This record gives sequence, C-alpha cells and structure tokens, in this order.
Amino acid sequence: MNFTLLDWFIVFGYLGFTISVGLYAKKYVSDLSGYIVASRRLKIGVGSATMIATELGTVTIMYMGENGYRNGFSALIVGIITMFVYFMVGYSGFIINGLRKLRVMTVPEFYELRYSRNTRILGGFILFIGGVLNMGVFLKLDGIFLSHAMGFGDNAVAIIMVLMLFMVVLYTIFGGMISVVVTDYFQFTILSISMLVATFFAFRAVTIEQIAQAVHTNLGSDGFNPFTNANLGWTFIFWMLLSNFAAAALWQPGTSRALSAESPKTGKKVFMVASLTFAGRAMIPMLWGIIALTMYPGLTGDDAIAAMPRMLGAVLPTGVIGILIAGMLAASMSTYSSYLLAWASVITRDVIWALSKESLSEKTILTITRIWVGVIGVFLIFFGLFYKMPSSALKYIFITGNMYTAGAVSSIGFGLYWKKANIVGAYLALITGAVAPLSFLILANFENMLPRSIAWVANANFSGFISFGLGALGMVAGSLLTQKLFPPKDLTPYFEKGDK
Amino acid sequence: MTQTDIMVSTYIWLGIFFFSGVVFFSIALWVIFRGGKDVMEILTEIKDKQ
Repeated sequence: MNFTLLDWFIVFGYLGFTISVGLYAKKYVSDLSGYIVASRRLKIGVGSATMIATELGTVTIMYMGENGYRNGFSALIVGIITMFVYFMVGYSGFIINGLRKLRVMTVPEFYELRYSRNTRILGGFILFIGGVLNMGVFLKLDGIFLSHAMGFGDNAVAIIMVLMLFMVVLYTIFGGMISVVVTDYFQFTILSISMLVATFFAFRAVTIEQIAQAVHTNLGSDGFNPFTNANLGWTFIFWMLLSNFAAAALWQPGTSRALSAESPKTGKKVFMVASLTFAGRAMIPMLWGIIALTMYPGLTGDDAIAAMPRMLGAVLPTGVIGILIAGMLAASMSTYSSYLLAWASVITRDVIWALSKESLSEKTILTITRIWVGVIGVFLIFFGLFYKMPSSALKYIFITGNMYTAGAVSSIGFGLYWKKANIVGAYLALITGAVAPLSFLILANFENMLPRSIAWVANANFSGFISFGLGALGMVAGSLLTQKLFPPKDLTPYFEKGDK
Repeated sequence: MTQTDIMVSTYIWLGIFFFSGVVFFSIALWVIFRGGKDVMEILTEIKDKQ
C-alpha cells in the first residue's frame, strides 16, 4: 500500500484548508441570490474555473475511466463530442443566453414565465427526480475510487461515502453558491496539478506498444473504431451529441454558471472557455482506464470500475498519491456541493414554493433549501449502497439526465425560439421525453424477460436517443393541435430592458 | 487488424489525447491565474457593499 503518513497529512491539510475557506465565505451570503447564483457576480476567470470544476468530479473521472477500460481508444470519441457541443452552445448562446437575459435563477422558472406555474412544478419535479437519481451513484463511484486508490480495496467504500457526504453537506448548507465558487477555485487548482502528475506517472508504468497490444487483445477493432464498437456505434454517438447538447444548455449545475455570470456575454464566454477543456477532461481519465486495462485485463462489473483507481494506487509514489486523493476529494466536494445546491434549489423554489399558496420569505426558502440539501444527502448514502446500475456508469449518468433534458430541451428551446409553443406542448414534451429513459431504468433489470417487440427499451443507446425525438414530437404536436384552446404566451415583457 | 494498423491507430488516438491534454492544462493554467484575480475582486466588492 502506497498511502503513507505523508499522504494523510497532505489530504487532511487540504481538507482543513478548503472547509475553512468555504465557511469563511459564508459571511458573504446575505440573500437568496447570493446563495443560489452568487449574486450574479461571476467573471470569466472564476466562472470558467467553477464551471470546469463542477463538471469534473471524481464521478466524472470514474465513469470516463470505466469507459476507457471497457472500450479502449474508441471511448475518446465522447471527449471530442462533448468539447464540440459545449463550444457550439457557448458560441451560439443557444438557450443559455435567453435564460440569462430573463434573469431566472433555475431552469424551471422559465416554464412559469413562458407557460404556467403548473408547468414549472411538473418540470421542476421531473428535473429533481432525474437529477437526484443521476447523482445517486456519485457517492458509490467516489467511494470506490478513493478506497482503491488508497489501497483499501472494497473494505473502506462505505465509510468513505459517509465521511465525504458529511463534509460536503456541511459546507454546502452553510455557505451556498458563494462558498462553492470560492472553494471551486482552490479545488480546480489542486485538481489540475494532481491530474497532470498522475498522467505522467501512469504513462511511465507501461509502454505505448503494451497499451496498443492490450487494447487489441482484449477488445479487437472495437477498441480503436467507435463507429463499429458493439457498445457504442452510431446510435450511441448521436445520443451523446443530443445529450451533451441538452445538458450543456439545461443541466442546472452547469447552466447555473451562465445564470450566475455578470452579463449574458460573460455567460457565453464562460461556456466557450470551459468547453475547450472538456475533451481533455474526458480523455485523461479514459487513458488512465486504458492503462488499467493494460495492467489488469479481463475484469467485469464493479471490478472493471475499480481497475483505474487500483492502477493509480499501484503506480503513484508516496506523496503524489496524497496530492491525487486531495485533488479528487476536491473534485468531489465541488461537484457535490454544486449538485446538492442545484437540486435542493429546484425542489424548494420550483416545486414547494410554486405549490405554496402563501408567499414564502427569502429566509424560509433558504432554510427549506438547506434542509433539502441534508435530505438528498441521506438519500445518496442509501441509494449508493443498495442500487445496482443496469449498464455502464457513463450510460446510467446520461440516461438519468435524459429523463429531464430530453423533454426540457424541447419545451425550453421551442419556448424561446418558436412563437407557437404553448402549455400543452410543454406538458407533452416533458412527459414524453421522460418515458423512454424511465422505462429503460425499470425494464433493463428484466431484460431477459422482455418480449422482442419492446426489447429496444433495455438498450440505453436507443432509449436515450429516441427520448429526444419523443420530446420534440410531444411539443410540436401538442402545440399545433391546441393553438386556439391554449394561445401561446409572449415572452417579450420579461426580457431585461434592451436585451430582446 | 495488422500490427501496423494497430500501431497507427494507437498513435493517432494518442495524438488526439496529447493535443486535448495540452489544451486542458493550458486553459487550466490561464484559469488559475485569471480566476484568482476574479475571486479577490468578488470578495472585495461584496465586503465594500456590506
């Protein structure tokens, strides 16, 4: 085991520092917008740091690493797609620009402006369920990473899960977005350094010839060609294009960076700068996964997931592993705090507050948001311990995200850019978009018992891909068929003066 | 796949990886310097306001 007293010292020293910074930043939170969107103060540098840090948690490293282990070099296509799509969303300002101009704090607030309060409640509820399910495996994957990289094997996974969550919930509850932003910056710094150092040592452990042979021996041509790879293929690639496009524009933890920007123009720039790192963000852990395949071939299930951290634990020297673990903990804390805050804000503002007949004070909303951070935290522990993913971690993460994004991209995209979009179209888009991913999550566990006619539902690639078509169809058909009964609302009065 | 195909494919993918890695770490470095300045400005602004 490489993890020595020096490594423990590095990890605890860093944790002490980052929690102190988070709690110190708490005194700068005076109102709700300070808690949720950092009082819309983010400039391009810190905005980019916080967005990259949010999108780069240990969970990202884990599912990308697993993808590299299972699919070899073909996995790298995901990084190229992500970079391209996020850059295009930033460049065009598609959806994010409109939302920032409307000064909404959460994505479902748009539903109320454009459609109705009940649409906001339904949209918020689906977003909350999809988001929390999506986050449900974070703790487990992070626990596996830390436990294996530190050399404890499977023994310490549960205790690491509990400890991590405790720390993150604490400073998210007390600090909010200002804390998250400030600590994100420090976390991003240590994370970048640790990734660079870990990549250097991982590459020293094997030769390029060994990597090439391992990929070919274990995966054949599937390991080199994503278009013919049996796990990936064209359906997967189109699904990733659509999913990343929708997530870039509408996934609350990331989108909140655009909504927190000091201006719509800065919001776009933050996306463009961050997007350029997204290929590397995916490919670096994927390469670690491929190196793990070279060292530990033939693993399946949770062992395949654990192969990459196991490899890092074996090749990194004392001290370096401490920096890596501190970096990964940093990554997790940043991701968790942003996600917890995002989903707690959505359930509080878009469901509870929207359902409430009396108006709630800012203080009450803030208290309810903090309570939900704790509730989601407890859920994550139990879900992480007992739930078994029906497919690879990457596909699980994307398909749970699709529960919301597939319908939302139609209801918000059409809502911003198509005058005929109406309330019925929005309801139908949200519901039809969620059907295929939800069916997959339930039916994939009974794949062998399904009749051939609906067996496609148990294929994550196809279910995910088709959910976007269903969402768009729901919006267009619902709106066109009910134009007279439910005339569309005009958004013009809600835009910031001079922005439209 | 022949041995040459395997090695050529490996080098192409590694080339893409190294390019993406260099972009990632270059931007990371820029963001670290620029972001540090922004964090200080945000905290000073809020402090002055309070």
